[in-house]
Amino acid sequence: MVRHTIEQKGGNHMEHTEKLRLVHEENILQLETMEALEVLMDTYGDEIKRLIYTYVKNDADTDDITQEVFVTIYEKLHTFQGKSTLRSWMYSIAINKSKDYLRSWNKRNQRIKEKLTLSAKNNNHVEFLEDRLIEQDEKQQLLANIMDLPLKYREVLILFYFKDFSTVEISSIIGVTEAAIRTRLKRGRDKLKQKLMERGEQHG
Amino acid sequence: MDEKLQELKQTFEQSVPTSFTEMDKQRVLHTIQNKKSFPSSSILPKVLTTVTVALFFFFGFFIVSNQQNSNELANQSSSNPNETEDGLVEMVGHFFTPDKEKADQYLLFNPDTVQKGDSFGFMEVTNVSRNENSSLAITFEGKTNLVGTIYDNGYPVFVPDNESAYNIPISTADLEKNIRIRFDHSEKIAEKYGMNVGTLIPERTPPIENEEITVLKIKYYSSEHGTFIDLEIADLNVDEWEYYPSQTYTTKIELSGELLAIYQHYAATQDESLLKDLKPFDIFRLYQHALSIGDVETEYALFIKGEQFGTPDEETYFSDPVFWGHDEEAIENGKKSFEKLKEVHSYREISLPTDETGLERAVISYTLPNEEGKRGFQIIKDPETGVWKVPMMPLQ
Repeated sequence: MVRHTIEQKGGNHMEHTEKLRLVHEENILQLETMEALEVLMDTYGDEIKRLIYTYVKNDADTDDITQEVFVTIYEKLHTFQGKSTLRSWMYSIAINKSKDYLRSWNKRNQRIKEKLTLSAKNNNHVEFLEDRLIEQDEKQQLLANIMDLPLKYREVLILFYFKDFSTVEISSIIGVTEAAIRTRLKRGRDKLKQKLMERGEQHG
Repeated sequence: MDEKLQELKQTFEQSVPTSFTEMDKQRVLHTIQNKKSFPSSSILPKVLTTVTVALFFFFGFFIVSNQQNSNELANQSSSNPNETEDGLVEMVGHFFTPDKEKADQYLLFNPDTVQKGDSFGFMEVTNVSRNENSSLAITFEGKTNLVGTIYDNGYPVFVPDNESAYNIPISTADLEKNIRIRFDHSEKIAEKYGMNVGTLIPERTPPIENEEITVLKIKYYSSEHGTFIDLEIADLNVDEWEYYPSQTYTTKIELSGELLAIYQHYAATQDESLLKDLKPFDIFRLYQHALSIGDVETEYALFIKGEQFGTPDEETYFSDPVFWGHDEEAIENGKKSFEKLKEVHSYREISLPTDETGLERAVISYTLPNEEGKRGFQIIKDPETGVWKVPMMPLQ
């Protein structure tokens, strides 16, 4: 089947997963707020935290922002009106908090805790290093290139390809028109292609 | 590329080096519980402080001992840093540790008395702030050249060589202590030196030795937890707007209500007091409105006046429309550019730091549809009237 545009997503499996997710979200909303929060943290904690990392790129701030995001979710859950899915609502909170951090003046100040965290997390990071060094293949290179992209392309590529949001959903999550999302997707892919070609030339 | 990206999803989730742990969950639950239990308690902060301090010392013990080990490793390898096998040394970090025996050679300041206007070598103190928790933040400005090694520590860090160490202002309390020296705009620095910082690829770039940098600003910060220095260096093409305080306006460019009334009144009277309380973004909108209707008189009125700004007097300006850019063609272009702005719904008003002329400046930043990169429209506060005005060449 020809895909009319690459921005359209389909597939029975994805639809099925999406339906399950919606049923799950409906059930969550029936719970008492604290219980709902716990289920949300269990279900989405990992993906929300990883998303935040892709914005701020350091452990110490990822920890703090993640905490802040879930506290906000707890405080605002009663205001959720179901205009979007619960998941995309949480994503928009996480993205806004991450961007607030990136914009904040404080980001430029020295961060004491970074020193602490670097030491405390040293062991984890070494494990990560070893794993990754073994299979430092093209996929890793592509991921690294994505992480190097300017934020506006990076976030759209991640949300679309890795977080399964449609362009319409991304548009509502980050408050940019759908046309602009499509443009960014295209430009993001073009930039990646260009980077890979440059690398190919260097190594070839 | 599309297919490659679709195949990458699994790898992405596995590669982001973080996960939501039970400890994260407990932190969230505790924060909420505390908020619920003590909405405005005066005791809570004390209790929390006590607990935090206790925890800090508890963890601090491990971290300090861990760090000491790490430093030993770093010192052992410093003579031959390229020979590390597993990246461990680079992860541990590199510090500048002032030698007490050479105290008389450093640019030492007394943390209790240092104040704005003090000079240390080529740098002058431009700001000092002391906080309740006895932390100290000082900004030094000037120009000084430093030579040293730049390490890839997950972000770039700088360790000065022996001579340059004497050109960095430090506190008398910093002797024999580890000072981490980092860079402002560290992503740009990393890019300049080809470092893969902040990416998922854990490659570490070998140290860049004997590198000379020109430092324009030193931001010093110390507290009971340690001392950090950030260097702002010259010749770095950075998108500096990213980091300044800003406010985002989500609105259409067209004027309405009060601002339209102000425009009409101002166009008729050119009474500057009408603009007194307006923000830079309001002035931007007034100016764009003038362009949209080809109101060259009000456009001129909104320009900041005075020789230093290059704005000609009224007679000169209106005597040569082609030269000063308000002829028929320029007016049409102004209208066209306004049409494009109608498609923009979000603007950032960025407050720039005061420059050497002492002028307060702001930039209205926005992105036009289908255009790569941001546009910046500069607004300057008239030092005489305190009103924000438009320079003759506002677009940056």
